[in-house]
Amino acid sequence: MRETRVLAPSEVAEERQQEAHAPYLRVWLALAILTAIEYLYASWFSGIFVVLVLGLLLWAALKAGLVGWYFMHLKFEGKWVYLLIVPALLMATILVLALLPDQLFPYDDESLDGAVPSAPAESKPAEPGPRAPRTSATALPRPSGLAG
Amino acid sequence: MAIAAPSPSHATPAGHAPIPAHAAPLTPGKVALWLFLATEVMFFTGLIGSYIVFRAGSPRMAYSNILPPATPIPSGEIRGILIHSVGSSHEDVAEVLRTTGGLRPDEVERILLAVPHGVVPGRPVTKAEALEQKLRAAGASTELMKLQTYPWPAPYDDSVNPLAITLTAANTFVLICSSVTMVLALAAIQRGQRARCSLFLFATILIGSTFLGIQVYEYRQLMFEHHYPIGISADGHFRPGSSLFASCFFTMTGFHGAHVTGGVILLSCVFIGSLFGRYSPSRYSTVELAGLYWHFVDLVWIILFTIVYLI
Repeated sequence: MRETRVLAPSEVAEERQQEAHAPYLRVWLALAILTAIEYLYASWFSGIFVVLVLGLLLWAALKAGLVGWYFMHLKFEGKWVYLLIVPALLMATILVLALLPDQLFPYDDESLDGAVPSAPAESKPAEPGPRAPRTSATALPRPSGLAG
Repeated sequence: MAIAAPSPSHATPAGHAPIPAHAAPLTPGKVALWLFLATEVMFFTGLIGSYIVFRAGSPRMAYSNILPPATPIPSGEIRGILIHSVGSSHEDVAEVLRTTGGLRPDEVERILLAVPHGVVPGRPVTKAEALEQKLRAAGASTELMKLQTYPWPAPYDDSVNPLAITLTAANTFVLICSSVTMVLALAAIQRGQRARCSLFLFATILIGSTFLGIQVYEYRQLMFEHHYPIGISADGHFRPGSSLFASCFFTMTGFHGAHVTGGVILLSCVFIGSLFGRYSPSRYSTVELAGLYWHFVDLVWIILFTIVYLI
């Protein structure tokens, strides 16, 4: 069972391959452009975290999608392949989503810092006194159910 | 399933066969490789997940521009001193740092090696101002630095983050190029162009090795060659033990680098096989499977580069 595929007459195979071959260089160009865009985007929006993350994830997903769709031949593959990919991607997504609360509601670290002074840098907003339990320094809504 | 069935394109006349008819055949090798890739997805997601946990859980003041990573920030105002240049008398400046600054000789040496980014660790304002005056008197060009804290090293901020984003962005493109040559090698052997296939396989190995070479260069700069300011690492070098950020960085890029290394070795074997004429238009699954793995490694890097370097 080495090669199960009995090849069609050569001209059919050739045509098929030319169809498959044609977009590679265009995909390459698209990937190059996307890499440049991503690079510039990261330097432009490095100050605005949410815009930065969402934009960068979009560019990265586009690039990864192009690589998968064309180079990994998902475009030409039968549906069976999604039987393997979709569960893995689903689990990956669930894992990241499950960790999202960590990202959205940052760990309250004042108990770790010990006596944290009033913020020294003048750019920082004045904070409540040290050791004030569970100060919402980030002013984010905090679900009451979360154990600290 | 329809393993032995001829591909649908066999049945269509040699005209303009519609693309959906060209669904590639299902082979055991491909199923196995995709299954393997599915586990690899989970592996790298596990790394990314730990990264999210570490990063989200990092204390708000874990990193600062004038103290080593994870140093508790003292109460009261502190200032660091940035030394742009030492001036004419290296020894005088070192002497001031030792006596007035109260720094150990090895600390002084580290600060001076990092010039023009040398940072004298933060100290109370009056002491910092006095020290700065003496440093200027000794001929150094200096600047007082206010404390700035970060939960995680911000990209592009070279007082806390040592990563060279431009170099790595270029390296990302290098890896993408190797993916293109890989897919061209497969297309060539499918059309029976053996020499062309070998050539593109060789190009893939070469470009993949270039990626690795640049990564090794980057590691070398980070870990040995370059001297970084105090906000990046207490000992001036960016090594796995320097900070949580550093160990995350080396774990993620290191595991990816190991995958690339494995890929280069694998492709070298495939390349040698191609020189001996082991592949033909009806027998190319080895090239195809190696290619799948190689593209996956490229894909992972696209994601890792975004997460580790840019965000």
